Order: sequence, then C-alpha cells, then structure tokens
Amino acid sequence: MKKIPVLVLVLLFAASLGLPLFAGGAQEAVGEEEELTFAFVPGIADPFYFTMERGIRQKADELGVNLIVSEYPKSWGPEAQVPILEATAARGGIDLIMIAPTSVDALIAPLKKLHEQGIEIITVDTFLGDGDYSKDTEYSFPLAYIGTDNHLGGVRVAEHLAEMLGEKGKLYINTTNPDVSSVSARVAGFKEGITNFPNMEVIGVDYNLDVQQKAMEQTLSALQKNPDIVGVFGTNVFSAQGVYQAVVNAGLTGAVKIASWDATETLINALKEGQVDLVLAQKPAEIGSMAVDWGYKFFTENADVPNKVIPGFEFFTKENVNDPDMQKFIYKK
Amino acid sequence: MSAEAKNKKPFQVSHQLALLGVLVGLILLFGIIEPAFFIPRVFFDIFAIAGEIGIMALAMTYVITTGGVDLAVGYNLQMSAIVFGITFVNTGNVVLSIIFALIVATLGGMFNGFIVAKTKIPPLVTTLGTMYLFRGISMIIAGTATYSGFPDGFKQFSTFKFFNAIPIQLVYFVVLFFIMDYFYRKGSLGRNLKGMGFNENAVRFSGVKVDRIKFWIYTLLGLLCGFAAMVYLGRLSAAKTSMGDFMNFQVITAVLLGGTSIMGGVGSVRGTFIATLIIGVLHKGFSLLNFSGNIYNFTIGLILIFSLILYTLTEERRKVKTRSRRDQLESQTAATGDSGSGTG
Amino acid sequence: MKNRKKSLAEFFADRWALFFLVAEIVFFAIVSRGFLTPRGIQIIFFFGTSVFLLSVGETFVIITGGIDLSVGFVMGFASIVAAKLIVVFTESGMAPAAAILVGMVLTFIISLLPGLINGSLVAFLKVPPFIATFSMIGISHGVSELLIEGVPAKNLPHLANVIGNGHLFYYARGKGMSIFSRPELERGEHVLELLPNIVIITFILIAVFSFILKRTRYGQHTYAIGGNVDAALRSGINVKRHLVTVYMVSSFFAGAAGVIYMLQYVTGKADAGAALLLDGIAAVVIGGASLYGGKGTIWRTILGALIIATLETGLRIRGVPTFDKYILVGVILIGAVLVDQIIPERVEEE
Repeated sequence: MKKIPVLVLVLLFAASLGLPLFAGGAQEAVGEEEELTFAFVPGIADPFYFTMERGIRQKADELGVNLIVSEYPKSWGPEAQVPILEATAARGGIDLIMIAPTSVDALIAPLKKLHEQGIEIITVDTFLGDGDYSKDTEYSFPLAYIGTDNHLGGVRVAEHLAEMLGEKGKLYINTTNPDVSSVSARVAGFKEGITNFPNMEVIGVDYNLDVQQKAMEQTLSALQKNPDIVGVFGTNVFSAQGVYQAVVNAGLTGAVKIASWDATETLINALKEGQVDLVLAQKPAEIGSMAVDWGYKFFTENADVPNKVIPGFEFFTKENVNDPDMQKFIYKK
Repeated sequence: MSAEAKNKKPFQVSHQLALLGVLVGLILLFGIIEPAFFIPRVFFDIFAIAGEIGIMALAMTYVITTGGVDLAVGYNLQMSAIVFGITFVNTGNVVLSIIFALIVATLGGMFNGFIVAKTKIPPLVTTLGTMYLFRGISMIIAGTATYSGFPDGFKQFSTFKFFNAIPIQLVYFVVLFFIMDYFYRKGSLGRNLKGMGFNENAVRFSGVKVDRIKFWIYTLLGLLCGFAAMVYLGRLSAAKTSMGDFMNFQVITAVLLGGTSIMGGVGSVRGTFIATLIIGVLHKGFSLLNFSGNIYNFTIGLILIFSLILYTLTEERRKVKTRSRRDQLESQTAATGDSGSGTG
Repeated sequence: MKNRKKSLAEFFADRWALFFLVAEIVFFAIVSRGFLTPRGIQIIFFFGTSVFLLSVGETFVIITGGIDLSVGFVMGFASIVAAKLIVVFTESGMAPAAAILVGMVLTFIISLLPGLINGSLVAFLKVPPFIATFSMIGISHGVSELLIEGVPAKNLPHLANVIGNGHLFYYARGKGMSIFSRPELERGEHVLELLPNIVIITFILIAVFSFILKRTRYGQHTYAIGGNVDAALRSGINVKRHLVTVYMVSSFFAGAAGVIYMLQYVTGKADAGAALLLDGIAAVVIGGASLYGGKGTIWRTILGALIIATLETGLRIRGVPTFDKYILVGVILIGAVLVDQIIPERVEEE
C-alpha cells in the first residue's frame, strides 16, 4: 500500500532526470520565433505596480511584444517572489524579464541563472546589489535598472516640506523596511535634504514593515510623545496612509503637515480633503513603458542600453491636485 | 456543581485581585518610564484595543469554558471588514455595508458552530481549517487592495471620544461585559457552559441540548467578530488583508490570562475583562516606548505560557481536593470512559 | 499484510490522497503550459522543501496525538540564528565553508530548544499541545525580531548562495558531467541541472527519520503513545521523556527548514515560515494521519505535502493568484478529517 507513493516519487524524480532532453529542444524552438516575449514580475500587489503593468501593457501592445504578467506576490520578500519568478520562467520562451527585486541579494542567484539561460533582465523600481550595473560584480548582469532616483526624491520632499513649514520645527519619518533599497534611499535623501535647514531636525524613524496598522500606531505614539512634531514623511503607500490616519485620530489634522510618496487614489483624495499636504508621484507607467521600449530596442536594433535609466517625478499639492495635466500621474488599478 | 463553584471561588477572587495588581503596576511602570502615558488622551488609548480584542475575548470566554476554542476569530474579523469595504466601495451605502459585514461574520461563526456541534471534529481542527478558509475568502475578494474612504459618520463609530478623552470603545466593551458576565454567572447558561467543559456527557445526559448551546456560542462569537471588525475599521479607516494577523493570539491570551481554563469547565468573564485591559496597557505602552511589535508578541507569548503554567499548577491542587466529589458525579452518569478527555 | 476484505469505498478512501495528486498533475499538465517539464517538477520540489521538512517533523507529533503550531516561526527563528552565526564566524576569520558548516550544526542544536520547551509543557505540565505550541509562536517570533531588530539578517558569504541554489550534477553537451560546480559555458548554452542541493539535504533528513519511525523502538514507542497512553505506560515506556523528544524532533525539522531558507535566500527573516504555519499540518492530515494519534506515516505525509506543493506550483505557472490555495487547502484539510471520521476502522500496518 505504501509502495504506491514511493513509486510516484520515483517516477517524478525519474521524470525530472529524463525529460530535460526533450524539453531543451522544445524551448529552443520557441525562442526562434520572431515575436518577442517579455515577462513582468512585480514586487507586491499594490497600485504602484498595477500602474506600472498598465504602462508595460500599453507599450507592449504598441510594439507587438508578447507579454506575460506573473502572479502578484502577496507579501514583500524573496520567499514570496522567487517561486513566482521561477514558475513564470518555467513556461519557457521568454526573452526578457522585467522584475522589481524584493531583496538586493537573495534575487541575484535566481536571476543570474535565468540570465545564463539566455534571458535578459531589466530591474524596475528596485535593484540588485547597490544598483550600479556598470562595475564588474556578481550582480552586474542585468541590462539596466529603470527607476526613480529615490535619494533625489527624498531631498526634494524635504525641501518642499521645509518650505511649507517655514523652515523650522521637528520632523518624523515612518517607513516600511530597512531592507528595501528604494525606500532606504528616500529616507537617506530626506535626512540629507533636512540638514540644509538649521532650524529643522528629524527626531525619529520607525519601521512599519509594510503594515498599515503598525504605521498608524507608531505615528500616533510618536505624536503623543513629541507634541511639537510639525511634519511627517510617510515613505510609501501603506506608511503614508497609516500616518494620515494617525494624525486624524490624534485630532491634529492641519497642525501637522504630512508629506508622502506615491500618488494612490486614496492619498490624492486625502490631499483634496486637506489631510495630506504633499504627495510625490513617481511615474510607474513611464518606468514600465521605458523598460519595454529599451528591451525592444535591444533585441531589434541591438541598441546600447544605459545601465541606469531615471525617469523624473511630480509633486502634487493642494494647489495643483485638480489640474487636468496632473491627473495622468495618479496611480490607478 | 454548585459546591464545586464555591470551592474554587477563593482562587478566582485572588486571581482577579492579582490581575488588578498587575494592571495597576504596569500602568505605573509605563507612566514612570514615559510620562506622556498619563496624558488623558494617550492613556485612554489603551481602550482602543479593548474594542477589538476585548469584544471578541468576552465571547471567546464562553467558547473556551466549554472546552472549545476558535482560532479563526482574527480572519473572521478580516473577512467581515473586507466585505464591508467592498460593499461600501460599490454601493456607497454604509448601513447596507454594515449589515452585510455582520451577516458574513455571523455566518462564519455559524459554520464553525455547526461543524463543532454536529461532527466530532475537534474545535481546534475545525477552526484551524476555517481560519485558512476565511483568510482565503478575504484574499480572493480583496487581493491586496485596500478599501478606504469611509464617511466620517461611520468613523465616529469608534473614534468618538466622550469629554474629548474617553473612547467610545470603552463603552461598548463595558456594556457587553455586563451582559456577558451576567449570563455567565447567573442562570442556567453559565452553569451549562462550565458543565460542558467539565464533563460534556454528564451535561448531555441531564437533558441539556449541548449541541445547540455549542452552535449558538460560536455563532455569537462570529457576530461579535463582525462587530469588532466595524469598531476596528472605524479606527484604522481602511480594510485590508493583514488586519486579522495575530489577533487570535491576543484574544486567546486575554481569555486564558483572565483565569479561564483551556481545558474548559472553569472560567471568568471578569478575569477576561481585566486581562484585556492588561493587554491594552502593554500594547499602548510598548508602542509609546517604541518597542513596536517585536517585544509585544514575545511578551504576549510569555504571558500565555505563564498563565498556562499558573493554571495547571492551581488546577492540579484543586483537582486533588475535589476528586472525591467528581468521582461521585461520574459514577452517577456512568460516563467513566470519558474521564481521560475531561482532564486533558 | 493482513488479509482483510475491503470494500471498494474503503479502497478509495484509503488512497484518495494519491488519486487526488494524480488528478492534480493531470489537470495542471493540461491547463498550465510548462508544468509537466523538468523545470516545473524541479520547482515543486525546490520550493516545496520547507513544506516537506515541516510536515515530516509534524508527523511525529501528530502520531502521538499532539500538534505543533509553532513550526513556522521556529523556522524563521532558525533562519536568523543560522544567518547571524555564519556572519559572525566569517567575520572572525573562519573560512566560509567552515563557517557555514559550523553555523548550520549549531543552529540544528539551538533549534531543539523550542521543542524542549514545548515538550516539557506538554509532558510535565500537562498543557494541551496546541496551546503550548501556540504560545511558542509568540515567543519564537518575538525572539527572532529581537535578534534582528527589524532588519533581516544579511551579508552571508557568497558560498551560502551557491550551495542553496546549486545542484549536485550538471551536464552540458560536450563538457560531460560535473559535480557541484557549474561548468563554464557560453551564455544561452543548455546545461542540465539535476538534483538541487537543498532537495538532497531535505530527503536525506527525511529518509533518516523515516527509518527511525518505521524500524526502531523509538518509532514503535511513538505509535504506542499515540495509540493508547495507558497501555504505553503499562508497557514501561517513559512516556513523558518520549513526548519531549518528539517535540524536539518537530522543532529540529523546523530548524532544518530555516537553515535551508537561509541557504536559498541568503537571508534570515522572522516571518520566513509564517505562510507555512498551517501547510505543514495540512500535509500530515491530508496524508491520512489521525489527529487523535496513533496513525500516520512519513511517506503519506510526503504525499500530502506534494499535493500542496503541486497545487501551488501549478497555479503559479498558470499565472493564477495563489490566494485560492488557502481555500483549497482549507477544504482539503476538512475533507481529510471527515474521511478520517467516516472510516475510523482503517488499520495501519505499521
């Protein structure tokens, strides 16, 4: 009776040994087709990546590129993303993978393996190693990193917020995770930007690990302990939404200025209602469409892809939020 | 049974006094370390969590007293919150959304109650399965979307503060506590709950509809999960699929710390009340001291183990005292085969 | 084998997990392109290692009639301990290979500790297993978070990554077979990678403990305790001590899963196993073990784990959100328990 499961196991193992010979041939056959196939592996299911997918789709349709969009990971981390990456790659016939790596080092080995199989890699939004693919390192194999200059963004947020606050007062930062390259750069940039204003000071940074409830509770406690905080920077969607709910719950709407990152519909509505004062909008759709574009040029024109492509960003404030030109920068599902 | 109850009363009272002592001690401790803790607005934040954990813990006390448990509470709350969110986003009707959310949560509780009452699957396994199920359902409905933008009127449901300090959660919690405590101590329901935890067959043979009680207490717990979901939503103002994480943990800890035995038969709603406040103080205190979730989870785990050990030790002593009386009872009902499961 | 007549229904009820797995494979082979390929099958095993390990450890506990809810977070705890230790050793000048080896061995030993506490609570203080191990969730999660303070443990030597993502054999046309090291090849040239290292480690551990459960006195005692504690006591088994060791086996396997996570993702994370909290238990129950104890075998558990891993991989290759997995696993779990209820007379030959 128990021999049957054993048999199944043995068969499966045997299959994993024997079948490659056939499969190898099949994969090459697919690769020879004229049509290009790109795959997109997002970092987590949130409006930022949904918007990026829209940009990717639009460009891919325009250029006649086949597109595979993998499952959206439900949490941020390699243990959620790598299995999805591998499963997507197992479909075969992929020429280029556009991925937002969820860890600067854990993704190196799996991506390198795919690269060695002949698949090109572009990292979008986040990167491998330190993000510099021009040096000769173990993580220099991707074609390019396309994403916002988070450090510069942080500096600009600091400048805008300082201007709103009359260049004085205490500030607090609520961010997601010390491990994520993009978000860490925002915090570093913000801190650096604030050093230009002698009467301002960042009194604390909290990590909410992408949990909105935690962001809310941390901010509430920070505000209660330091009633003289005048400005808060929430570094991504979840942080910013948690921060603004904390300010509302503390009854401090208006007294504390909130700067945030990522123009989700929720945050834009909050801006309209005066709960948030400044929103930096990245351009996820543009990042996506640039990735497809450069990938396409690489395959069709053998173009020299720059190691780093940096699209700009926009600022939403109460003044320009209803501006028709700005509407296209709002993230949508 | 009544003699039984008299016999354990001294323990219960001293236990509750000890809990009160711990509560006061913790408040003083946090207040000394972080004076901001005593600002009324800050201090009353400890009740914010009582509106969520506490409401569920009150009904959970009933369930655990019968020797059962519900691991699915957190995800039932989450499912209900998501249903509220999606209904609201699609219809814009708050009342309808609340009704739907409460119905879904109640159905979730009923489902648990039905399986526990009608099959012999242990409550632990049943609710372990439905924990997956509820979580899966909410994830399928919501994906990782966040539903928000609820009207201010709805948020008042849990952000309203009397005298600009006392949160409305405290009112819900206290009112519910009086109701639940009354039925737990007076009348036949409480007696039957304890009897079921102590020796289910004995109660069954005495003509009590055990299955029906089981069904309805799990249903009640489901309904209160829905209510807690609404209270939580008002505070957080966004429905998403991480809401239910680690909630069952805190709820069960509140009940066990309050002196209810995990093996059933003995318990106290009053204990749960005080224990919930202790957890609320820890939650707010740790958050103020910037310990975030790390030490909090660790402490809750420690408290859980501590209350288990404390309980088993006192239980052992009590059992020795009451053994003769219990043997009598069992020989009457001839349920000798079940004594093993009765003592765990 | 006893010669007992079995009705057709019993025959199917006994093997429903197997039929389910076969049906699953056929289904995904049809709907998911790339599923029934070597890559697809390797993915099932490669990413299924944690579920295999956790469920095998859990099998021991469930056979005794207990349950261990803490394995997922003990796994995270172990991944952090392993990562931290290896980083410390490397920084103190040890060779990477030695640091990894010593770090792994020490982690295995440390990971026995949660099991020791769980087991002692259950055996000596008579705390019900589920609540004892439930509180261990909070403790192990808390300790892990305290160790890393929110920042995942990082900066492991590159060798860890090579081991974690490497294979035992590589075969490339014209270059022949090589062991452990990937041959130097032109990009895009096809290389056959066989038997991932971590899958081998996993199955060696499982084989050893399968032998212990099936062929040794230790295994017999485990079944005896689950079957009837009083009888076990009377036959002179030291039930308390045995129970403690059973929980240590379970947390040892959780530790192994953590170590493998560390190798695979060169990271130690507190919530590494959070998503697997229940997969392990579900695999054991789907495999036909009874939660009342006394029943269950490792091979059947592997079958249950394969069902879960195949389901997940199949859905992923198809591109379907694996949220659905939660529902399916929940339903299969309850189904398995019901089957266990309906046919209680099933007798295991072990």
